[in-house]
Order: sequence, then C-alpha cells, then structure tokens
Amino acid sequence: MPELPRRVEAQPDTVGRDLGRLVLTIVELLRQLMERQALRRVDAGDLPDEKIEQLGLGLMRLEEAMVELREHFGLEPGDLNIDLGPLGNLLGPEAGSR
Amino acid sequence: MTTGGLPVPGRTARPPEHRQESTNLADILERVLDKGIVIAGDIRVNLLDIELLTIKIRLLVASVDKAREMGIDWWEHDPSLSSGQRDLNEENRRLRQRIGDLEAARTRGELGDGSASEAEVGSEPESEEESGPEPEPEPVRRRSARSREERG
Amino acid sequence: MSLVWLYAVRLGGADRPPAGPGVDGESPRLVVEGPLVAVVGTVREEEFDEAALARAMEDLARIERLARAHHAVIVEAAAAEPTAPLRLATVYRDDEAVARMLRERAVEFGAVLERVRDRREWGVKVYVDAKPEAPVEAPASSDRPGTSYLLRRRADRDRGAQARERARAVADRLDEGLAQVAAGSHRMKPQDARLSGREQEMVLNATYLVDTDGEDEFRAALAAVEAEGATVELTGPWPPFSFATLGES
Repeated sequence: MPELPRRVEAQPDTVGRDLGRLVLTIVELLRQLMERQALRRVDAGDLPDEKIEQLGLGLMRLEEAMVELREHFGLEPGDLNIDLGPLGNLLGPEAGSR
Repeated sequence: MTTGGLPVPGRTARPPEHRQESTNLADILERVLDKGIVIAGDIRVNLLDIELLTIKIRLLVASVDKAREMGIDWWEHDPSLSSGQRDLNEENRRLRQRIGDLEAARTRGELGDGSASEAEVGSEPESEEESGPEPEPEPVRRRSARSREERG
Repeated sequence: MSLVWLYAVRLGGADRPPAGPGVDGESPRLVVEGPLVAVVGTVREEEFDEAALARAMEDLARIERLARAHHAVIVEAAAAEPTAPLRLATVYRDDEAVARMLRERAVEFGAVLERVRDRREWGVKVYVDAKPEAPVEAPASSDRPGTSYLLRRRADRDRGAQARERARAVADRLDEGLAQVAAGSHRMKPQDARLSGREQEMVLNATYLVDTDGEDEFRAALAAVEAEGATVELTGPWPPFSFATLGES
C-alpha cells in the first residue's frame, strides 16, 4: 500500500496524530476483543467472583487509560473506528456514539 | 426523476408525507453500479469492479480524513460495499474465479471478458494497456446481497 | 477515435433518441436490431477506454457526473417503452459490436423486457427510532467496581443486540408486506446515517417492481407502514434498474 508513507511525508504536522490514531485504533480493537471475551466468560458462569472482579477492574483501568491516550492525541471515540466495508465497522456500529 | 408520492390521479385522501428531495447520488449509484443488465463490452470494462475493490482495500489503511482528501469519501459509505457477510463466501468464490479468468486471458494475450457469467461479445482487442492494479484476494465484496428471487 | 457507450436497450421507439446530453456531453443515438433498440452515445476513446474509466472511478466528482448523466439518459429513454437499463460503463468498440450483442442475446433481452413491461421501480426507505432505551444505571457498588463495570458492559452489549434484532424484524415484516403488492423486490443494505442525514435509523432500503396499475395498492401498503409510526421515504419512479438483470446467476 504505497499511500501511507507518501501521505505521512506530505503532511508532517499531522504525522503524530495520524500515527497515534492508527495505533490507538488497533489497541482499542484488542481491548474490545478482550472485553467481549471476558463477557462471554461471565455469561458462561464458570468464573469465581474474585476472578470476575479482577477482570472487570483490569478492563476498566484499560478503558480509562485509552480515554487518556485518546485525549492526549485529541481524538474522539469515533476517530478510532474504521469502516471495513463488508466486514462492518472495526469497532462496531455503536463505537462512534459512545 | 422526481421523488415523492406516487402520481396516482384522483386520489382524495391526503397521501402520507414523503420526503421531497432531488434524487440523491447514493440512490443512483446503488442502481447504476450494481444493477442493470450486465454485459461485457468488447472493452474489458468489468475491470472496473476490481478497480473499485482496490479503492476499497486502500481505504482499509487510509485514515478516514485522508480518504476524504483523496476524494473517495463516498466509497467509505458505499452501501453496496458495506453489506453484511451473508454471501461473502460466494462473492469470494466469484472474485477468485474472475481473477483467475483475467490472468488466463492475459496469459493468452487477449483482452477477453473476465467474468464467467457475462457474455463475451466483441471484436479483436487493440488496446495494449496494462490492466488495472492486481486485485487483492481480500474478502471484499462489491455487490450487495443478491436480489431475492422475484416472486411469481 | 471514439467508442460507443451503451445506456439501455428497449423495445421500440426506434425513431426517438433521447435528447441527452449523455456521459460525454454527446447526443444519444439509437442502434436498431430487429425489435430491439439500443440507446448509445458516441464517446471519446481517450476519456472512456478502460484505463480512463479506471481512473474515473477514483474521482468522486467524475463518478457523480457519469452516474447522473447515465441515469438521466436512461430515465428519458425509458419514458414510453419497456426498457432495460445497463450498468454504468458498458462500452463497445462500434455500433456493429452493439448490434451483434443484441442479436446474440435477443431472447434474453426479450424475456427481461417483457418482465418490466408496464412496471416501474420504486425505492422505499424506512426509518424508525432505533435508539436503544437508556441504560439502567446500576448503582455503582463501591466494594466491587470491577464486577459492576463488567455487568454494565454486558447490559450495553445485550441492549445493542436487541435493538439490532428488533430493527431487522421490523424491516423483514415491512418488506414482506410490500413485496406482496409488487411484482418483484430487492433488498439493499441500509444506508449509513451519514448519507441519509437523519437521526432515525434506516431499517429498510429496498426497491420494488410495481405494476403501473397497481401503484394505488402499493401506496396503500406504504401508508400502512407509516401508520405504524415509521418514517417512509419513497423514491422513483425509477427505470427498472434492479429488475432488468440478465446473464447473471
């Protein structure tokens, strides 16, 4: 994909923001995947209460960290979404409105 | 083309309020790109499909505002490109077949039609132009979900 | 050098070419082959050969001009006779190639044109308020914040899924009702809210082939949909873009 480097060069002032956005988008995807998996485990009912609490705390702090990082780069929640066409939105349809 | 209520003469009851607006581009593109009779001309215009795919694939890595600068913002919202995954596999199969056909045709030094489902009509090709960028075998589909079979 | 752009194929009207202008600013012409009349335009090769069209597809403004011109010529061409629109960018070397195609596919064209005879296409978009109900704010229990976080997330997830499921059910039911008073129906992907510019969610984006003398009934079915509180947007009449497909499985 030749576009990316060319564009980064073309707009040096936004390099940091664009890169931050790209990285944060991937991280946010992973975070959401983890969260969904955790919810599935909760649904399955095979986790002891302490584990659930630990999981929840961890995910909650991760989310707080993501919010800080996002604000650091001046990004909105919707900025971390990418339209994957036939695969839907990277972060689901609701990600932009949260 | 106008939009609005059906022009039924002599109706007395007030028609439901339909939104009046000029025909919007998305509505047109939904139809002129995706539908209508599909015939291969004697130029391999069906490569356009693949060109659209490469645009779409590029979008996957382009950040959204960059895509807008490139002037292809609309494709991001292309309804025919963002359909559900229902017949993704089928479309993949068709796409692979099309790519295979194209490559075979190129090997033979022809500009044949790449699609098995479209007619080959045409005179001897004269264009020497390189065909478009190699399509990528990503699971990206162009068409919206197949039309439901017409009833009776 | 020039090429021949194909707009539509219709039954009859062999002496009335549309006024245009066409995709290259040209005046459309007709290529007549038996009962079939192809509406074509002479376009410049350097602007409409394969490579040029591929470039054009990168350019939204150009796509729009092409699509609108293509569409306008087809609307004009389809005013009186049964007409099968062609997809954007169907290009031939010359009129003879068009005529040969018409000969070779005469039977298929005949079937398609009979299917759309005395029928028009109507687009229907249905919007409903699909906002999930406000989250039930569980009191954040200070002793187990992690657990309450997860439970909150789970409730969000379930509400979203339910809303989508409801929207899908509404769309299916409406589509079924409308399809019953139509000769054909075709579902498209609901358009993104950024396109429709509406707050409400588009749950149905479909298009129907309706008998011209059945439009009353179709309209009544639409009114019934609106009576249920949905917002209905009707577009058309369209030439039968979505119902004149041939050569496809």
